[in-house]
Amino acid sequence: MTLLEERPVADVEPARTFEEYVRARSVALQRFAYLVTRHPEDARDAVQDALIGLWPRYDEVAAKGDVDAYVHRSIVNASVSRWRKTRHSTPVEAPQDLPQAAASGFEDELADADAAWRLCATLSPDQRAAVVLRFWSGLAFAEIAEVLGCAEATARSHVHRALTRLRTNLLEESR
Amino acid sequence: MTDHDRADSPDRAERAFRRAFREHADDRDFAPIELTDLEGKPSADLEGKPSADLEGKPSADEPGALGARRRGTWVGVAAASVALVLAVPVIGIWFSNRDTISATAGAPAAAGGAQDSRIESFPEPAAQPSTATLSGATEAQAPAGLRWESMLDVAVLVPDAWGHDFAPGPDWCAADGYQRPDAPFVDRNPSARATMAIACPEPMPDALRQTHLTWRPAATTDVDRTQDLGDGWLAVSRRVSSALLTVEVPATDQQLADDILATAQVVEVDPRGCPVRLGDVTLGAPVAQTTATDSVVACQYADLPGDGPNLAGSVAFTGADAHAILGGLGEPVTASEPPQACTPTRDELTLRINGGEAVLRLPFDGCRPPLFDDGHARYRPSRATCAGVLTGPLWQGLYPNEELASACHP
Repeated sequence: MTLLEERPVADVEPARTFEEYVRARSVALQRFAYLVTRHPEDARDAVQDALIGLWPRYDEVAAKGDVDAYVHRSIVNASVSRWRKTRHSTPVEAPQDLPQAAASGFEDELADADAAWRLCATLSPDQRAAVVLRFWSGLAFAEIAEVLGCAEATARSHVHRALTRLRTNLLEESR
Repeated sequence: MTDHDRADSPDRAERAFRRAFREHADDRDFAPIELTDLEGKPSADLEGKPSADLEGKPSADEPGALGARRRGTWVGVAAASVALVLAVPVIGIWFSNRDTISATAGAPAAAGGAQDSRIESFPEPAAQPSTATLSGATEAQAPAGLRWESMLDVAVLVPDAWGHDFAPGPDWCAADGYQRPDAPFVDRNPSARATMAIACPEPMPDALRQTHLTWRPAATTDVDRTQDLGDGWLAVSRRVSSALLTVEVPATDQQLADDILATAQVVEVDPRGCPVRLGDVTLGAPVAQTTATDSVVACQYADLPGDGPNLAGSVAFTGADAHAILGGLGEPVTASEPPQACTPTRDELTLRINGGEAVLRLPFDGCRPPLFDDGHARYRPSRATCAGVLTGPLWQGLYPNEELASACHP
């Protein structure tokens, strides 16, 4: 399966008005925001704020062709700002609440996914956003850089470091 | 051995992330967002699309990029002016070594920085920028300790102690001798400056950073954001109508940046009475007929594409300063139109006498005579009427001929 096939793009015809866009994409956007913020309430707030910011310039942004990228950027920025203002205090799930790694076979993949999800809780918002954009949204590094407002090399670095940490964790859990 | 057996397999880690996101994206049953949900948010006005916000907005696909000048502007002083434009930071040194310039003449800015002191008098911020028009007939009153700065169709309050200087650009490393301004400052007309196509390999050293506010025309993709500049510095940006405002501060002063940006208001006429679009400037009575000069407001307009907001800044002069400007106007002159045909730019300086009773316009495009024109008579620019008013947030780097350069370049 290729990245593009996994990309959760809108499965409806392209929205033509702001209202149609909101109707078509608001749930998917909240899922994205949840993966970035890890808080359902923050996710909904972030999407609502992003949509309010989008509203006055919707026609302009839509004409450029990628409204999602614009909204993703707003969500990530809001998440990073909130993270900074709350002194980097993104709550992390208590270890005892986390699913434990399974032993083998199909359950290994579940355990790996759990390890990945736990690791995400420890990433900074922009690093987590880079990983979500890469492996959930299926964006190329140049597109990730565009959303994050950073150099492509920085986007690559965010993802590479997260992968390296996850591989290390998986190795340790395998022992 | 399968991929899954190898913990260092790239595919295994990537698959783990993908699976984690697929599973957890459905952790919550998110309800669709309705427009009514957005209407319930503070300051979300969805009753009607604010067309003014879209109307006339520069098509800034390239943020900060100005439209190509429509004719060769370098006549007579080309070499000297190129040096001036490309060496703006050097000129910045020159200015930073002089008295700090105030946006309101006659009220010199206090020396010293304010970056570590939060201004108590910042008004309570609105959740979204207001679209109310500030009083333009006379200078709108700013809260104590603050002053208005205007750019494009936005007015924003900054601490009155801030001066004006040149913010370093991305080509800072090639700007020989750039020095850190002594005090926090507002960037001087960044739309009139050229930036060398140089990508500095390293972040700007902390020793060169100073708290400041800068701006550029907003690009379609600009959103509010906070960027980590490294070494404990942040760039806090907020898109307000056609402008992207950015305050660079030490991370410990992020609240100051937020306070400043929260005061941003969308205006049609700036707090000193300057229309935000050159096309909205109207001429008044003959300046020769104005008997008592109470005030002169200099409004500078940038050569931005389209016909949207292009106000680059404004400065107010009163009392003896205003009299000195008008005293430097001299006698009317006659001049023939330049022989060459060209398309006028929107690069212009206007002087509003007594709140618009008379208005003098000085184009910087070289397509028209380099003279102030009040619609009734023309006046040759002088150091008093041109260089003397291009102070504070105003700055002109390009001149179409030597006559304008010698009269106007600071």
